[in-house]
Amino acid sequence: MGLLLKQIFNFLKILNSDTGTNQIAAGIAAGFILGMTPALSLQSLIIFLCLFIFRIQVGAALLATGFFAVFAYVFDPVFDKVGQSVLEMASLQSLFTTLYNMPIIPFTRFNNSVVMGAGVVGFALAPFVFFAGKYLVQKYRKSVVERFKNTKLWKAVKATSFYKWYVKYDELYG
Amino acid sequence: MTNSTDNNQSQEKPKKAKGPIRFEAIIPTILITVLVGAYMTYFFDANLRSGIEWVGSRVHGAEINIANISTSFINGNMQIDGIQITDKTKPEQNMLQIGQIRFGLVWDALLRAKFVVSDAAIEGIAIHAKRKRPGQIFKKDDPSRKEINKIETAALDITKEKYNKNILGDLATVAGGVDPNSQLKEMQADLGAEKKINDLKLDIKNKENAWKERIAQLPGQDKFKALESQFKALKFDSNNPQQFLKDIQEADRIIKEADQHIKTITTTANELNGEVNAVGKELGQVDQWIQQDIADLQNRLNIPSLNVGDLSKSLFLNLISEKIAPYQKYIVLAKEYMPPPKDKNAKAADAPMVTPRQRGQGRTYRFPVTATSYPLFWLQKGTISSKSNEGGFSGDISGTIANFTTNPRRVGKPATLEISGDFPHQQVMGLKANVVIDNRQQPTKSTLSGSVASFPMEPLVLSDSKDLKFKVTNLVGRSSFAGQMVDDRMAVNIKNIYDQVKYDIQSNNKDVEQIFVAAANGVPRITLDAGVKGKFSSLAWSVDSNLGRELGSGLKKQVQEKIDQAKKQLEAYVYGRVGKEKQALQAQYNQLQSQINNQVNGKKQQLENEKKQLMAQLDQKKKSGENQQKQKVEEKSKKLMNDLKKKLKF
Repeated sequence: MGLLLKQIFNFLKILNSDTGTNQIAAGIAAGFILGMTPALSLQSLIIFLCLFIFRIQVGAALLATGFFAVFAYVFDPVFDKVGQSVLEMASLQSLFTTLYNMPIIPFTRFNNSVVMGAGVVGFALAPFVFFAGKYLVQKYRKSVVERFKNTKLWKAVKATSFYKWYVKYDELYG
Repeated sequence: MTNSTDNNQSQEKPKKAKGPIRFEAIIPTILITVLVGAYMTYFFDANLRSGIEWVGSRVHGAEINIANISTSFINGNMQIDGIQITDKTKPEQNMLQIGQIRFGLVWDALLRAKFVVSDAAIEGIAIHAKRKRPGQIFKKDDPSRKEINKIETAALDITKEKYNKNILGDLATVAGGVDPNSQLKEMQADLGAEKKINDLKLDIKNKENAWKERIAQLPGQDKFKALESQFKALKFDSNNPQQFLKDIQEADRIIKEADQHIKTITTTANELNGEVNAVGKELGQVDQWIQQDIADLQNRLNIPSLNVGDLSKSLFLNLISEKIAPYQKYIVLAKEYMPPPKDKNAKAADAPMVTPRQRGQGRTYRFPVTATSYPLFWLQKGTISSKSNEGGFSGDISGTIANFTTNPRRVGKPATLEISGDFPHQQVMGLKANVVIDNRQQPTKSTLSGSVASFPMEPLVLSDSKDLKFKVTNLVGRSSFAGQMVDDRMAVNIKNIYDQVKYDIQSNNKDVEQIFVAAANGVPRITLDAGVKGKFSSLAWSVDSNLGRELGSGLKKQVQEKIDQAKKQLEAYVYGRVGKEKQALQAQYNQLQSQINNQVNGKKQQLENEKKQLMAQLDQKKKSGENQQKQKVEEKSKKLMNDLKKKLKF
């Protein structure tokens, strides 16, 4: 739980800094795919592995997963329809039969209409979510963070010795 | 101060942009991998061994030990060495000991998260081997065996058909002479019938009062008289038609009131008759209570019933059921872990009535299976082989075990176990067993057959009472068994023969000893045929033994007369105590019944008669009124006719 909270605090910190736009956007995109996937499956584990290997903002991914999971719950019937149409495509039947009989692959639960539909929609929209996320982060920094930094309250806070102590502490142990 | 701070900030080196890969995660990854590897190499086998020992011991009810387990995930194999299963009845020895079990898992199945054992080897089987230290026996109330206890208790309940364990001792007591009267005097036993009769008397007394109150409230003679006088007061004057009509209406009302009273009395009479009959039924049970008291006293005084058919059951059923009951739990467990396919109705019944909508349910597509499909667990084939070693407990055993699986339908073959061989050290020779468990479809069917050519048995103590010590020694038997279980109905027959047995019979009373010795000498070879059949939850046992029959017929002459005499004494004792009470109760009941009959039914009859009389009188009045009116009309019409004739001068 502590690790989870730390990731979310890191996300808030990086969100309000000048760096890591791509990391946050990638985190949101990864969270989008995770949130769309209905249950723990092989593709979810692969995304988790990507979060571990690549420099993707984990806090952003976790928050996005929670948000998109609620969103996906409502859209389950749509995913079901999409999944059914994909799984029933005549041209893909031999491919699905091969995959169905392969080891490991069935752990993706690709033969379930909701998993397939959510997967197709999730992976297809992930690039758009990435760019939309990047744009929104930049917009947020420009319109909210910059404006807040120019307020008298923030300047007063920055002038306090407590803030300076915090900055030093963050440099050393953050 | 401000300038220096600004200078410090300007001197800060710009942070180097980090690449897209978390290289700092390499060390934690390596660390985690090493830790998992170390656990799997050094600790996993030990933990697995402890886990199997813990679960196995609790299921079996006595300590199970495993010397060593070694697993290899890369090779997909497992080896279990030195399995020792403690004998629950003799913790210093093992019921079964297996030297080694090896099996290899199919990688293709492992990649599908299925555990398929293509070939297993079971070696070094020994029975009754001595343990280094006595094994732990788990108590019945051990909390860690809560679930398995439920199954065991259910299995033991099946054999709750218990018989007198000391039948021979009791027969010897009776044969030596028994005087129930002296024992009864000492006992001053409470008789259930006596208490129940007193309770019933009190109950009748209370009811009698309540019934009397109800009878008193019923409409009595005064009511009838009042109605009668009201009726008589009516004049039915036909000269006054208006008054005549009113009197008729009043008479109708009186008759209706009488009807109402009759109804009240009828309802009460029915209710009281019902209650009296209920008491009568209870009274009819008095004889049963008395018989029950006699049977209880017979048990308490250890006066046996000499039923030749039941004697074999009494002698051997407990022995057989105690041997079989512990294994019944494995049938229950086999059904749970090797389940047959559920039918559609059962599936629907299992489904919860209301559940929140879950994600990811959708529709699951099944594509043609072109590769091998596996159940979750499948032991395809196992070879059992064991060689006896000099002075050891191992046996010369060979056999096969095949197709034990969690999904028999998918495997499409029944699970089988074939085993044959000898245990020379234990003198168990010619062991053959064949088990087929077919859970592929409903109803499930399992068959069991086998035989043992020769096996020794410990001396059989049939009686160890102060009046008789009866022991059968030199028991070397041969056995054959066959049975089947279809769904939850089973039918198993076991035939045991013990040749050249010896008897050790001792009694303080030499005459009694002579009776038993004479009966037993006619049975140099004991045969024991046992059968069990019926539903798993209520099995019916049949046991027949020539020893039981011979003892029964041998003892019948000498003992039956004494048993009958003792029973008569008991009956006389019980009837002597409760006979008068029973008669008094019967008299009380008869008196009450006649009272009800006289008072309620008499009243009802009287009122009905009164009503009939009133109705007859009313009919008569109506008719006489009608006739008078008719006569008047006729006279008037005659007069008019005469007047008319006169006017017309006819």
